[in-house]
Amino acid sequence: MLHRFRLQWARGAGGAKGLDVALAERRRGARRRWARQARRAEVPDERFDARRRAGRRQRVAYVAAACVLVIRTLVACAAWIVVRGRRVGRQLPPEERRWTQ
Amino acid sequence: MHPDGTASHGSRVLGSILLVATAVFLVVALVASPPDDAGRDAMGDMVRIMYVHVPVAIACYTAFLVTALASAMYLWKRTEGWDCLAASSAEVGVVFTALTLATGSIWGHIAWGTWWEWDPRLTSTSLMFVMYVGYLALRRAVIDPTSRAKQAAILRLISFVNVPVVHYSVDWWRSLHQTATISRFDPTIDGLKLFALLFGMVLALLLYVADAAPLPPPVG
Repeated sequence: MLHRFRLQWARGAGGAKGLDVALAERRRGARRRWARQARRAEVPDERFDARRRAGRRQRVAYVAAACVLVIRTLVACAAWIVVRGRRVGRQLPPEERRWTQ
Repeated sequence: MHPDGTASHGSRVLGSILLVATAVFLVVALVASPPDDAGRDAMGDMVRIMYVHVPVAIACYTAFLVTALASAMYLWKRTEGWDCLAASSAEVGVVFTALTLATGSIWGHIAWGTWWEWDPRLTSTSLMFVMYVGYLALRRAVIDPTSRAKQAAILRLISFVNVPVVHYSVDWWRSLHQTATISRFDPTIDGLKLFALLFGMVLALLLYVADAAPLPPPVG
């Protein structure tokens, strides 16, 4: 439909000032519009950048949370095991603590 | 060295190696390795969660495999050492399973938009967690050491049936969870990302070994 409409327009314009002239005008207009769009795309959209920065901050926070969770839990688990070991070790005579020999 | 502690020369050396290795791992995983930007499903910085999530999952599989082997050995040999090893390994395995669920949930919240989904992998993992927590409860509930060791060994072997189900759930059922990243020597990642993942796995296994070294049974 789009192309059919353009054909119709070109035919109409061509009837008035010749098809080649009308097509050349149409292409010049299209180039100007593309150039405007390209310039706009190069200018950073502040709102988009702010959203992207916030998203990156959030992802970094999630990664940090996962690492902190794993390390703190494993350290706490190791500390708990060491404390339990000392408590149990107190009940054993030194000659039965095989791991110290 | 604490006079009553369970530390040995070997465990202190292992602890020192683990401290240095953890620092190096954090630098490699969080700073040196690049964000994932390959393909349509690129994870960006979120790939860094995989460097802790996958290793703790591998460590929990290993822990429960060692638990099952030690339980079978206990039922065969009936020596206290195998029961100690199985009990230590299962307890540390439960901690690693909890960490697997927690880190996976953090990943899921940002990647899938939800903390939890009743997906086959997540459901079977949570079932595995509940089964081993139940085992720990049974171990505390039975007083007689011989009866406790025997019942615990049987329950540990029953619980292990779920471990292959967890691993293959993403292949057997339609799952939201991604399939294996490293399998059949054909990894879907490479370079520093693969190194960070493998380094994390070795570190998690060493942490498991350091944590699961069996303690002597309580006296009295």
